[in-house]
Amino acid sequence: MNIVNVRRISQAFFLALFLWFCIVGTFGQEWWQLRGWPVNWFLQLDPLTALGTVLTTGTLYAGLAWAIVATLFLGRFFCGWVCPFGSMHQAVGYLGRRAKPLSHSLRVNSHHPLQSIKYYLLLFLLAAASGSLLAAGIRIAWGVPLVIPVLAAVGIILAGVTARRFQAQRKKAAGILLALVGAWTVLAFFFSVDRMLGASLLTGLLDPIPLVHRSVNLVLLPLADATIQKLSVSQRYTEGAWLIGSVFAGALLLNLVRPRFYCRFVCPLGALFGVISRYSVWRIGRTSGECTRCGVCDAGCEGACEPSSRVRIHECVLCMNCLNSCSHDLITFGTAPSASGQLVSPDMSRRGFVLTLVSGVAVVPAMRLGGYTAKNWNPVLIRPPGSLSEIDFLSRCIKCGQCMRVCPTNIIHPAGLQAGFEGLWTPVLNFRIGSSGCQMNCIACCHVCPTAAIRPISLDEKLGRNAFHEAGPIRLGTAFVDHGRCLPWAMDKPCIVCQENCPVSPKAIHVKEHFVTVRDGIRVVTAAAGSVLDTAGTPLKPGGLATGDYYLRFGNASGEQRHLIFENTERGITVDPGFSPEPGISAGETVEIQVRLQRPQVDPDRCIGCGVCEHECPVSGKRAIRVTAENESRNRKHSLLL
Amino acid sequence: MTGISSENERGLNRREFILRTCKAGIAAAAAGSLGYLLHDGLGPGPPSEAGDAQVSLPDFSIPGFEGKLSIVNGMDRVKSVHLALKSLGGIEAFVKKGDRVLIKVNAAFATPPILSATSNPELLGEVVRLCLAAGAASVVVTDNPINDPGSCFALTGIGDAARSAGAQLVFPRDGFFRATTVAGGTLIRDWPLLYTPFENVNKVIGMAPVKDHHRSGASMIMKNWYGLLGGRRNIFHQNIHDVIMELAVMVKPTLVILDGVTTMMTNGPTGGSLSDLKQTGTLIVSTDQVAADAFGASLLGRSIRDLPFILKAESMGLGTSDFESLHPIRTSVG
Amino acid sequence: MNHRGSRTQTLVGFAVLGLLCAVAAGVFYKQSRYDVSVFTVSHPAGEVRFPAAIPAGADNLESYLPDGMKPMSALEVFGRDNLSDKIDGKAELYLSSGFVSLHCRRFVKTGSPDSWVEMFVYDMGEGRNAFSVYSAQKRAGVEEAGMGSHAYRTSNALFFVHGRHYVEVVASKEGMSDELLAMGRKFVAAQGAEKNEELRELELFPRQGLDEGSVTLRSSDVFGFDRLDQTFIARYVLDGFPVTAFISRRSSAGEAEELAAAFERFLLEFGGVSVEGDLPVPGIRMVEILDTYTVVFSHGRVMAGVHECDDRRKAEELALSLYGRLEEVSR
Repeated sequence: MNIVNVRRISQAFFLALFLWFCIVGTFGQEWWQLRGWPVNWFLQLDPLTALGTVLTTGTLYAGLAWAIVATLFLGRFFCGWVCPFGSMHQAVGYLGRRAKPLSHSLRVNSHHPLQSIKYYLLLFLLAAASGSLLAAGIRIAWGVPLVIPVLAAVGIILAGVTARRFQAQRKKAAGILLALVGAWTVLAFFFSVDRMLGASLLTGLLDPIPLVHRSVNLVLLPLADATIQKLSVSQRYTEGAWLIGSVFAGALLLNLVRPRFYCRFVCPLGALFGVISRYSVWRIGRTSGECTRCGVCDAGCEGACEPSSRVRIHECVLCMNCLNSCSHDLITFGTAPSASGQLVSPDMSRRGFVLTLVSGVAVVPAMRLGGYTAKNWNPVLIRPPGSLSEIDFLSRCIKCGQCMRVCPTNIIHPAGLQAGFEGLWTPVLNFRIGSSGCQMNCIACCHVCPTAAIRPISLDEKLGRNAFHEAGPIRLGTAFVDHGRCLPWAMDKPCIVCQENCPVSPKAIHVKEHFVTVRDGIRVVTAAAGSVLDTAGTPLKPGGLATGDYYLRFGNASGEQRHLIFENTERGITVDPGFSPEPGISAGETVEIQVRLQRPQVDPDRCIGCGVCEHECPVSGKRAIRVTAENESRNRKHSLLL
Repeated sequence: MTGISSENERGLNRREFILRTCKAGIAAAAAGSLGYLLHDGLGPGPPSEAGDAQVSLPDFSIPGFEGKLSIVNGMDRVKSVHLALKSLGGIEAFVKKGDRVLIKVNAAFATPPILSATSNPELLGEVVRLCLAAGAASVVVTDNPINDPGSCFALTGIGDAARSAGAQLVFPRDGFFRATTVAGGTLIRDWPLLYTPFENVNKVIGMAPVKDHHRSGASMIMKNWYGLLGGRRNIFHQNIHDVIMELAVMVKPTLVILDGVTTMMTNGPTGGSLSDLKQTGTLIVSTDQVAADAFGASLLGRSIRDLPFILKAESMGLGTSDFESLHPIRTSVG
Repeated sequence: MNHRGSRTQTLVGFAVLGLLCAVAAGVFYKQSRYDVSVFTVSHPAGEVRFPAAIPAGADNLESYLPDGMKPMSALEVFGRDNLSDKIDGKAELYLSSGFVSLHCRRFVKTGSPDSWVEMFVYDMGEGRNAFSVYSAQKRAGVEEAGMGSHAYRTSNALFFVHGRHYVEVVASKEGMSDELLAMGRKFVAAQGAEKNEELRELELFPRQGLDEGSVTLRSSDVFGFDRLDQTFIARYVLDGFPVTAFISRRSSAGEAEELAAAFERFLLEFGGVSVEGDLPVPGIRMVEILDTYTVVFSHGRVMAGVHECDDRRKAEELALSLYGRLEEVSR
């Protein structure tokens, strides 16, 4: 059995498994639905997710412990043998260089210096995630006396010594001095405002597993299912699918430039595996320093790690293509070091390292200057039920889109820039797009979230029952009636759709009755016979007043009366036949046609922000009743009632 | 034509000339046929008026199959339905390969199957299997019951029967309803209709038991379409006969199966006691829902005059109450 | 080809394939184990809502359970505005008879999931209303339940009136009579002896020829006459001939007399013809309508009569007997 074939089988297996997990993301208990399928397994195997959340929260949530298995036993095998995104790249890359000459393969599969970009990206993302850890460290140090004078003294001495040492090379000395001053400034910045430091989990933007989940779940599946309509009964939508789709397609198409482009240049997870590969026992290597330099091994190399010369272990994805291709049997996978030498460390410059680290740490406070997590919080940002408060949420959410996939009403969507750049592709509720609002009895998203950015709440907690009676139901926000758009408020048209659809008991939307005289509704009676009146004025729309909402109001000495209009012609109005006006109306008197309106009002004590009203509102463009995040449970500061 | 090109022309040998002509011909033909395929002489029309806001169900009946009625006597529903369909030309006459079938059952109440307040699960299972055997690509079973759908489909046995026979069970959800207006109707106007399950469906079978009904006198095929409405539909109870007639206008089924093997004679529509039931041993399969209901009335011991909705539906041209005029095929099973 | 490595590669290959099989098996095993409570929502339109508010201290019906049965679903409570959510078209029957509330719940026999019962307790406000809905739905040819005079059972159900409650206990299959009766008895025992004082009219019907089980109480719109309510109707068989008698107790003698006169007018309006009779009953009125005879008279606070009898002689006979009984009781 050829090991390369085994690898292909493994890749096909895991790719199929991954796609299957995407397919069974449909909420339900059928065998092809969610049931107990471990749909998060790939995300849980992903050490970058695990490491990121460990940095931001100091905890490893539930299934993320699988990442340890991946780290210890798989290492770079994950890239070459397991990763579904990697398999896709490999397949596209293969198609791209098929039938091309060996020289082409040699060229595109040779190592490129810019492959080190991914290590910088990894460092940047991890630095951004470690802000709160740093802040905690600084606070601890701050608490210890003498730390600052000692640090300052050490810094000054170091600066002096290095400056002296590099006296000869002025340029370099100046550079180092500058860097130290910069670092010192940054340090001072930390000391004075360590509260500014924050952690933001941005790994999900580039981490291949969340990326491929997001792309398949939110773009490919809805597209595929639109034709067969098997997975969901109605079309599923994804807001901003273009961007997710473009990133995905772009990443795949870049394989035509260079095979496994994403893996080699971008993938922070691969970089992480690359960094830890220095500890691997078995490695690709050469048995003899002498070879014919035929280049066959280099030409088939997926990782562009150049097995023919000094093999770059950190770039090797263990595709094993070189193993059997060497006609002289010079390549082995073993414990002995390569006869032609090997490189185990990514080639990062010290300056680049520091710069990336500092900018990664600094980018979070910089992003948060926008105030999205403070006073400038965005009210349209309605998070799924059980979501943590915004800062905690951003330190956990990996933007994988699993909640969006599972939501049975398709109301969870990837955010654009509503939550700032760090909130890109995080879940946000859109009540216009789905098939209803957030369903009372559904806690699917809470239980599918792999990192507990959406907590695994119980139904009791969501509805505020039993043990949670005191706390009350979880609120996503509050509905507000837009008086400028609401039909009974703005246009005197009867409508109580939102009130009827409010699922809360007792209803959070109540109506206030108003009688309003309609346009051209003041009319002079020209003739009256029992309950049938003839009136002068603008012709009425025949039958238009017979909907049960229109009343005739008239006053006389005995007071005002209002009676339901049963039927009307252009001039004639028939009121309730069971009634004969006492005393009768005679010609020449004035009557008013009034409409009975039930104007909706929201009771903020009861509204849970489920959005059913917004979804059902017949003003279908910009809804006349809309939920915004005021009063959401997850953030007390957004409370509406004191 | 320049001198250079004519020089080249001379250089061409016959073989190359043929090759190039072929290539050019193929390319021209390909471009031409692609253009023809994609041609749209009319351009996009104006946006349709009611287009998105309102939906209506298409006519699911099969032309040329109007007025078919088969009446089978016997207590075995499975045998009866086989026999009835056979006498009408077999299920294949109605369900073709690749068809997507929707069966509207009566699952109104969360009551046990022995009370016959809901569609019989055994009969449903058999009809689903027949449809699938005839090559149906999918069979959807749905209803918007009075009681909560989960309990209704579970306790009536309809859920299990449908699933085990290979049908897809669709529970009503908020998003599945779309507004509909019955042409010429006065009641069902801009009213929520359980529409999503009907998307992509091209055959509809109505299946209901014969029941007494406190308000309408009888609940059979036409009354059973009530379960496609959403909203506060019980306000129509005031005009029950008119609304049943409008429902019959709204749904034009491929086939109806009226189960009068056991009839709920009294205390409908819920019943509750086996003593409300009578073994009437009759199964009706028809393409005329009015005729099926008219015959069903006789099982309840009612005359057509007792059930105004039948005459109203007849007057709308939806079928005939004089079922004998359809020359029903009468058979019986042992 | 690499011959040196091929043996190792085969071994490793099989190990990897074995590992993949293990992963597949693990995934397959995992999919069958899940927390069903996460899937409580089937999001049907009706279930989206919070369960109807259950009033504090509502009777959860659990105390009427015999041994070996346990609750299968939560208590449901319906009021006038949502009764039709439970019983659809039949709600009218209850609503027109003073319906107050319905408590219902399903119970299942332990270890036998197919054997379940649903108990419906209709609070009708007062005893006569309960009797009214009971009598309107009474099945023919049924068995006395042995639980007092207004109770009967069928092969799968038990129906009875107790005080202001009308109770139905319906089983999912036959052969559960013991459980049904046990629940009924426990209900009666728990509610205490509530004699239906208000049903004294039942004693006003003469015994002769009376079909005891046929007495019904109509609450409104009796005989299509909108002013006639709270009327007991009984079927008689006189020499093999069916006759219907009715009795309605009014608030005063004056009202009874006025109503009798109004009923006559109502019949005459619909094409009836007044018939002179010679019965020794004061204020008696007889109307011939559509070849049937209807007799109506008042006796004290009671308005009574015979309705649409095909035979004039039989109508007169029963009217006389009814009057005699009223005289006898009032004495």
